[in-house]
Amino acid sequence: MGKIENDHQLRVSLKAAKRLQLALEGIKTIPNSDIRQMCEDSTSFMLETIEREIEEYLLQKAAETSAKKPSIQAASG
Amino acid sequence: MKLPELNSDGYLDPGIYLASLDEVLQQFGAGTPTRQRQGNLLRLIIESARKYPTIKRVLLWGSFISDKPEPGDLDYSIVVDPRHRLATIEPKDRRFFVPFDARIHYGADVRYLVLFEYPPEQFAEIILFLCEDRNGRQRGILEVSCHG
Repeated sequence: MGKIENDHQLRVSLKAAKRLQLALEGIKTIPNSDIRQMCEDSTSFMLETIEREIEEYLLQKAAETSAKKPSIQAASG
Repeated sequence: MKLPELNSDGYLDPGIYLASLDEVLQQFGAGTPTRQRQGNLLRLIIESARKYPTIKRVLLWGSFISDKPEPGDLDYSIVVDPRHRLATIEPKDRRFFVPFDARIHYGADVRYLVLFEYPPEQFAEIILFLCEDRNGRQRGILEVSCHG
């Protein structure tokens, strides 16, 4: 699995996370507890992976933005 | 039946295609050491899945079934029968089919799902998720039947 590289991919990942959250809601209604647990575990792990990628991208973006600030200030000062 | 050609995005056209293990390996499990390695892993997974009557089919998705020479991972999911709760997975197969064990085996970035077709709404959401790439493009996935 790669990383999110741009804002478009960020939006797609957010949509994917939403889909998995919806699926998790449906999985909670699976009658058998053992199957429900297996489906819930695997979907949750997948969701965690996507959420971590989103978080990493947002952190990277925030770091890039703050790194740019001094140079903007220097240019305007 | 031969698998369809990949489209200009490097994927199968959107849809769920039935394929045999041999067809998948012929088209996607060769060409680079990475693909050979992932193909060997897929063979082990399918051969193991066939031992369990309650694992109905294996779905393949992601970069392995694209034109990427070096796919990131082998992404797969199993579709299970309601009686799967009664199945006892052998210790050596748990890394392939039990989510917690798969996470330990494949690492934190595991791309493996256990799918149950009921209720259909949750199944549909997962299928839609599998059929979309990182850029939001629709793509086809493959279904390998485990039993006949």
